[in-house]
Amino acid sequence: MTKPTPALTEGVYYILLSLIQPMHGYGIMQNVETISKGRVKLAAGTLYGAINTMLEKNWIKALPERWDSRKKEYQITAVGKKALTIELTRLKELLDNGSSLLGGINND
Amino acid sequence: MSSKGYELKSVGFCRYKFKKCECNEYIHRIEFYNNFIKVSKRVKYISFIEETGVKYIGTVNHNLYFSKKSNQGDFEIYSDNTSKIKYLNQMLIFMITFSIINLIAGSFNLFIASTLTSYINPMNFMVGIINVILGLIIIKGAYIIYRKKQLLEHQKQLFE
Repeated sequence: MTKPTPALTEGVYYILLSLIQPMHGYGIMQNVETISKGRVKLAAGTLYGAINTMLEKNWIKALPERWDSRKKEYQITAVGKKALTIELTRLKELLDNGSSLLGGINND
Repeated sequence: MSSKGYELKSVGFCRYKFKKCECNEYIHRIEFYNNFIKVSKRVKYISFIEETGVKYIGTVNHNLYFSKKSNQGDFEIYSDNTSKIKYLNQMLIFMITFSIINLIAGSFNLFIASTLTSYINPMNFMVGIINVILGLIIIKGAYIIYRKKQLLEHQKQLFE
């Protein structure tokens, strides 16, 4: 048995998903809002904290700054992708159990 | 002030400069920031916030002042309970440290005022009383923050 990893927060999950492509802070905020159809709005302070924690955990890396932009870009690492895959499996389990159990109740 | 049609332009010690603008054109936010943290860290933080389309107005007494045009959408510094709790904790540590310093300094002054000389030293007595009152006011503020934090922690048991 592998050690169960704690659930990711909604914000962290969406930030990691966004960073499959290189993106800067404001880009992440906009992208998360777009893919969640306006439901998840990350505030700048929360995003800043999450980015720093993920950099420490080596889930994401800061890309070297480009000459034409002073905004720092970030991208997911292999470790981060693994965390995302584990989370996806966990979410799938939740979804499967939910739809089979709740679905059954609704059909009664 | 924004609802009355004023935009905060700059801040200084006991001084706030406003400029006339459309009603509710700007959303202002104040964030407590522990100044004892390295300056380079604060500069990094501010420039990150600025990159998200927020204007940094200035810092006074551990408070960072920000504004953003309201037509660019909501403006909050923190959006989830975990970071809100972390923020309140930072505030609490700061406030409790300050109130303890004040209470110790206050008791020390009152002690000196009443024991060292045969008469009550008015200078030490005054300073001591001011310290104690300040300490108690900060504790009262800290309690309000603590209750706020408890509420968030309670919510966190059910929601993220």
